[in-house]
This record gives sequence, C-alpha cells and structure tokens, in this order.
Amino acid sequence: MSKFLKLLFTLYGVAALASCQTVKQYQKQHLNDAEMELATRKVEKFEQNFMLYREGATGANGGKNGGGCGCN
Amino acid sequence: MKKITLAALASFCMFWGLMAQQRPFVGDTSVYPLRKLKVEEVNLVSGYYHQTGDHAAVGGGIGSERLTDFANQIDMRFSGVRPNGVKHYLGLEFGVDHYTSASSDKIDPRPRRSAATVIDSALLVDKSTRTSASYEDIRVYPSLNWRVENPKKHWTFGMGAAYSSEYDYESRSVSANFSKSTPNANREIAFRTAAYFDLWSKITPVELRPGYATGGGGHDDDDDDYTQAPRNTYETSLTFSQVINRRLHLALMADFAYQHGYLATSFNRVFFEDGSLDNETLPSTKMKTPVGIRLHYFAGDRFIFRTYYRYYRDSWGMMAHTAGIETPVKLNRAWSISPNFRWHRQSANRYFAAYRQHDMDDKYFTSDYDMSGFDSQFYGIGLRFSPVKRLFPGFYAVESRGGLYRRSDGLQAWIVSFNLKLK
Repeated sequence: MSKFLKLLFTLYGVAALASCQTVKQYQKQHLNDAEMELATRKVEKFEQNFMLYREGATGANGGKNGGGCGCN
Repeated sequence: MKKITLAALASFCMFWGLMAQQRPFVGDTSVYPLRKLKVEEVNLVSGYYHQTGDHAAVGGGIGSERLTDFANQIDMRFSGVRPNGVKHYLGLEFGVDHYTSASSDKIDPRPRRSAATVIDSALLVDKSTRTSASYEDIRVYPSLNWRVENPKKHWTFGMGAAYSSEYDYESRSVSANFSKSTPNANREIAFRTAAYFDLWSKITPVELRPGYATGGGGHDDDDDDYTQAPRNTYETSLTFSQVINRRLHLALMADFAYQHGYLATSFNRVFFEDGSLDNETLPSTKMKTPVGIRLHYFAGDRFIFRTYYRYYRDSWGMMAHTAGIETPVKLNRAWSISPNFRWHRQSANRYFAAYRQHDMDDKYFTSDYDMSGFDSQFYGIGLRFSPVKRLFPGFYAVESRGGLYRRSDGLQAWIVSFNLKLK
C-alpha cells in the first residue's frame, strides 16, 4: 500500500476516533438497527464462501482465512 | 414510655421478619426460580451458485469451469440466564452443500471401470466425456459453539468446535474468542483464535498415477487408497469497534493466519513450456495478513450506508484490495431493499503462470486462475421483510439476496441466497 494511502487512513482513523461522542443506550435506535450491524449478515454467508474459493485474498471479514476447506 | 414500647415492638417485628429468610435448598424454586434454556434464534439459509469460465485449473488453465453449488444451512442458538445474571448461549449449526463441477470431472475423464484410454490435451476439452465420480460431491459441516456473557462486567468468552467432510477433504477445528466492552457499550475489543487440522486426499490427475504410462488402469474411481496429506491453519483476529455518534459506528479488523502442510491442490494440472505435465506444486507454508475496516452510517430515517475496505497481503507475493458498499433503503417499517456493489483487485502470486507458460526449472508452479492477477466486480441486490406484526409465531424476518459476479479473466457467476430468521 502506498505511503500516501497509509497516511490517509491513519489520519482518517485518528479523526474519527477523536470525534467520538458518548451515546447512551436509549439514543441508539439507529445504531441498533438490524441492517447497521458491524458484521456480514447470515444471508451474505454463501457469497462470502464462494469468494473465498474464487479469489486469493481471504480474511478480515469475519469469515475463514483458508482453513476448513480446500480453498485458497 | 409509649415511645419505648413502640420501639421495642418495632424491633421485635424486624427480628421476626429476618427469621423468615430461610436458606434455599435444592428443590425449592420459590427463591431462585429455575430458568430453562430457551431458543433464542433459528436461521435457515439456502444459496444457489452457478459459474462459467474457460480457465479450469484441473485442465492446467484451460477448459470449462462450469460449476453449480446448492448450499443449505440451519443454525440454532439457545440461551439461558444464571441467577447471578450471567448469560450462556449454545449454538448449533449444520450445513450440507451439493456441488457439480465440469472441471472436477476432468481429473479422471475415463468412463468408469473401463480399460485405460489414451489421454491427450484434446480430451481435456472433450465435452462428450462420460461423467466420472469426481463430477459431483456433497459436503457436510456441523459445528457447536458455546458463549458466556457477563453483562455486569461487560465481557464475553466463547469456544467452539467444527467438522467438515467431503470426498477428498476432511477438517476438524477448534476456536476460542473473548471480547470486552465499555459499560456504555460504545467501544468493544474482540479477540478470536482458531486452529484447523485438515486432511487432504491427494488425488492426482489420471496421467500421473502409477501404471498409467504403461496402459494400466491407475486408480479406479472407487479406490480409497489415496495418500492423506495434512494441512493445518492457525488464525487469530482482532476487532475494535467504536461508536462515533448516534448514526455512525465503525469496526477495525486485523487478522493473521499461518498455514502449514500440503497447500496445493493435487488434481490441478500444470503444463510447462515444452508441453510436459505435472500436478500443482506449492510451498508448504503460507502467512496471510489482511486488515479491514467497516463504516456504517444511518442517514435520515430511511437510508443506511454500509461500507467496507480490506487490504490483503501474503507470503506468496499476492496483494489485494477489496472495497464494497451496500445501501439499504427502508421502504416502510417492514420492507427494505439493498443494492450493493463490491470491487476486488489482486495481483498474481509469484508461482502463477498461464497454460504452457511455466519454465521447467520452476520449483513451485500453479495455473490456477484463482491465484492470478485480476479485477472482479459483484453487482447485487437484496430484499428484506421484517414486519412489526409477525406472520406466524416465531417469524422474525425473511431476506433474499442475489448478484452477478464478473472476473476480468472471463469467469462469470451468479448467486441467489435466502435466509429465514425465527425468534
């Protein structure tokens, strides 16, 4: 990854984390929506599986990293 | 005097009340009622996948990649609460996949139980080949996991075990995970580790089997005396989640995986510059370091933006970028529609070369286009129905999703998935 992209992501991450607000549980009606979940959903499971077989890159998505299957 | 009498009477009553608190004994459920394990959630997931292409790895980078896969899985989660408030979850999953593959059929394209026939490169693309045993297979994969959650101390710990079996591949795995969140649940850090102990049956292309060169039959389709080759994978992942504001949260993910053992696919052919043939040969170790970020934002009352980016790098020289965006739109309280797009770009690993492009002096070689350099795009759309008033007891939501996948080397695929959630 180019140095510029690394710097950009680092600055973006720091800015995002620095601007965090404290959100109380009763204020999380949007964050708790089922489609806001910070993970792949069950219905995406088989899409994720076939991409594991058809592409060389794996991981960092809650799925497998190459073990458990005759995949890459 | 009256006050002293009243005070004495009150004290007597207080001590009398204390005597009423008896120590519970086994069988007395009036103080701590027994709480049964209840069904928390059930998911029925099905998917159908179909692909076409012209770079079959079994053919050395040429030939049909036609393949279909019909996958089904059921998972159930049970929960129970201890008297001290600690929650326990038990998860059971069971999946069955049935797939057919035109390229797998070419591992041994001879008709069953017949005399050996001469195999030449033309036969690899012969569409009249009779179906062999390798044309189709069924994969079965059960798993069990247990998780304990302490809501007072804001931590979760879990363990799991899984098994997978198909004709030439068997996997046993164990995993453990731990997470800790802040009291307001605005921040969480999670750690997961898993180990896979897999066994691969080394099924070689028919031309490379003992006895074939002299006109012998080589392995019969029903033979089970293939060499077993171990393949182990050890992986860890770290996830950091953070609420940014009432509408925005993100997750940072970093994985590390180490693989050791037989990492090639034994029935993949490789043709060299001079036309000679061997099966795929790859190093016995591999390390992978993907990192990713998810950023989800709820705009207004109807629009959600789910974005994802991953950077991947491994010890075989492959680098990849993956980015995706999904935009669920809430049509009303029950229905939502989700167009989505995913883009992926990867460089070839250092052992890949196309058909008849490998040098005879190469120590490791593959012509599997899954490890080549390419761009791919996935265009998809999803539909979700989750009514406020349930259609029947237990019904929670039904979701369907489909998409078209295109790779720059010509492989195309489409997939349709379906999920019924019961709570």
